[in-house]
Amino acid sequence: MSNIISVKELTKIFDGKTAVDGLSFDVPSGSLFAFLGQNGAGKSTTINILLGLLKCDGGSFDYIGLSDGEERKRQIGVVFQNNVFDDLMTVEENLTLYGKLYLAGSAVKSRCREVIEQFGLGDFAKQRFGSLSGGQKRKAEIARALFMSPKLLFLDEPTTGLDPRTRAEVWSIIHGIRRKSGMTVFLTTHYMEETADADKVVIIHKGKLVAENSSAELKAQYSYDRLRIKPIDAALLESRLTELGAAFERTADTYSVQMSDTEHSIELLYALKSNIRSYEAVKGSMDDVFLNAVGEQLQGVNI
Amino acid sequence: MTSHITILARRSIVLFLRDKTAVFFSFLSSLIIVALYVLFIGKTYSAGLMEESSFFAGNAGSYLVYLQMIAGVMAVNSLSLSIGAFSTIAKDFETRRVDSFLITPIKVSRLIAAYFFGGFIASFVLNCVTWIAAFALIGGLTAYWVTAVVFVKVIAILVFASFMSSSIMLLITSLLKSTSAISVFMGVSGTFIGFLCGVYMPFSMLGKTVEKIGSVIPFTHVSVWFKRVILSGAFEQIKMPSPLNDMVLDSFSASNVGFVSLDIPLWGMLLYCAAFALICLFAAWNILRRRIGK
Ligand SMILES: Nc1ncnc2c1ncn2[C@@H]1O[C@H](COP(=O)(O)OP(=O)(O)OP(=O)(O)O)[C@@H](O)[C@H]1O
Ligand SMILES: [Mg+2]
Repeated sequence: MSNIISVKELTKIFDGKTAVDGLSFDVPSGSLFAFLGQNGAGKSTTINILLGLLKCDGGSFDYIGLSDGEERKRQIGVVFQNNVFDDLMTVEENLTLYGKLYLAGSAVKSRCREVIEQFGLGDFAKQRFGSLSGGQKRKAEIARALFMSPKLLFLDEPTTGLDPRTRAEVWSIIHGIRRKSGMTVFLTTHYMEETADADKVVIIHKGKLVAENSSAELKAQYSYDRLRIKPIDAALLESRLTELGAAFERTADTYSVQMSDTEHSIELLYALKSNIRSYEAVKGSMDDVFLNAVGEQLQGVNI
Repeated sequence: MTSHITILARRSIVLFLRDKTAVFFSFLSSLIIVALYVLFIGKTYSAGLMEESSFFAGNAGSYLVYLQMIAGVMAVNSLSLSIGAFSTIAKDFETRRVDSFLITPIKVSRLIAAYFFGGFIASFVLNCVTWIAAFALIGGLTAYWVTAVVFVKVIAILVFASFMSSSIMLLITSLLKSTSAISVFMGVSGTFIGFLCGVYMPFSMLGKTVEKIGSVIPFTHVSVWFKRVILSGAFEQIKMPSPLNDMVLDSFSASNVGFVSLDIPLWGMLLYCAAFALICLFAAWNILRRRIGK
C-alpha cells in the first residue's frame, strides 16, 4: 500500500516543553489510520502541524499523491477537537458559509441540502448552532468536514459526546464514503472500539511513538483473551488455580485468568467445573492494547 | 475571488448584530451622551446661548444644541461600533476558529481584509441609522429639518469617520488578546474620547491642556468637521446673524483646534487623520498577519 502522509522526526517544543518528540510514521493511502495516546500526548499538536497551522521545530512531513498549495486544501477535510461553527448562526448558515469558501453560490446550495440529508441534520438545520445539543453540534461539524468530499479526512476526537446510536450512524456514513471514494481517515479518539477496524494504529506517549502496527498485530502483541470466573468457593478456586499453575487476578468476586488458546481454556474450565457459579470468555481488545502499550511507558519499561 | 472578503465580512456583521449585548454596549457611550444632554448639559448650553443673544430663545437654540450633540455622538459611535464588530476577531483567536478558515482556500490577506471591512461597514451603516434617527427626532422636536445638502455631506463624512476609526480600532484589536479586554476597552474608550474630544463639554470649559491633548486624537478633528458642516448649514437655515458665528462655533468646540500649539487649518488636520489611520491600518495588518501565522 502506498502512503498518503509520511512523517519524519517531527518535533514541536512549546516554551521549553516538548509536545512532539522526534515522531516518525506513515499513513497508508485509503486506510483508517488511528492515532492514539493519552490526554496531552501530542495528538492535536501533530495534526495542527500536518495542517500547517503550527510550525514544527524539527523534522518534516510530506503529502504524497495530493495536490500542492491551495488545491490541496480542497482535498483535506478536518474535524477539530473543538467546535468551530458560529453559535449565533444556524447550522445551515454555517455550512453555507464554509461551502462558499470553496464553491460558487449555486453549487453550495445543492451540496448543502445533500449534506443535511445525508447526516440527518434536517431537524435542526434552521436552529442556531449555539442552541444545539453537544452531539448535534458534533454531527454538524463532521458534516462540514465532509462537505468537499475530501481525499483525506482528519478527525480529532470526532465522536465525543455522541450517543452510541448516533456514533454508529456517523461511522456508517464515513465508512460508506471510504468504500465509495477510498478516502483516507486520520483518526484520534479515546473510544478504543472505534479503532478495532483500523488498518494501522500508532500509539504515542509524551510525543514519542510507542507502538505502530495493524490493530490485529497490536492485539496479538498487547492483549490476551481471558476467562472471567465467579466461583462458588473462592478459597478452593484460588488453591486449584495455584495448583494448576495459572496466573490470576481478582476483582471483587471475579477471577480473571489469562488464556493462551481455546483448548487451554476448555481444559481449565473442565478441571474447575464443579466450582463455577458463572464464567465468561473475554476477547482481548484495543483497550488492552492501549492500556498495556501506554502502561509500559508509565512503568518505565522499554519495549 | 473578492467574494471571499464579502462572505466573511458579512459574517462579522451578522455575528455583531445578533449579539444584542455587544450592540448595546457599542451604543452605550453615545446613549450616555444623549442622556447627559437631556438631563443637564443641553440646558447649560441653551442657557449659555441665550445669555449671548435673545435670538436663541425658542427652537433655534435647541436646534443648534441638538445638532452639535449628534455630531459628537457620531464621532464616538464610529469608534465604538467598529471595535464592537471587531470583537469577532478576538473571539476567533480565542476559540481557534481562525484555524478553520486557514484550512480552506481563503488567503490570509483576504481574511484580514474581511475583518476590516466588517468593522468598517458595521460602523458606517449603524452610524447612518443613527443619523437618520437623529434627523427625524430633531426635526420632530424643533420643527427644523436638516437640509438635503447637509444630510448628504454628513453621510460622506461618515465614510471617512468609519474608515478612520476602523483602522485605528483594528490596530487596538490586534494588540488586545481577549474578548473581555476588548469589552473593557470599548466601555472606557468611548467615554474617555468623548471627554478629550470636546463632545461632553466645549474645550472653552475644559481648558487649554485638555484641548492640546485632544488635538492629537484624530476623533477630535472628525468631530469638529461634523459640527462645522452641520452647523454652518443650520446657521443659514435659522437665519442667524453672522456676527454670532464664531461665538457659537467656539462654545460648541467646533472651531479649529490645530495640533497641540500649532495653528493648522481643519483640512490639514484631516490629512493628519487620514495619515494616522493609514499607519494604524498598516501596523494592524502586519500584526494580524503575524498572529495568524502566515
Ligand atoms: N499552544 C500551546 N502552548 C503551550 N503548550 C501547548 C500548546 N498546545 C499544546 N500544548 C501542550 O502540548 C502537549 C500536547 O497537547 P495536545 O493538545 O497535542 O494533546 P492531545 O494528545 O491532543 O491531548 P487530548 O487527548 O487531551 O486532546 C500538552 O502538554 C499541552 O499542554
Ligand atoms: Mg487533542
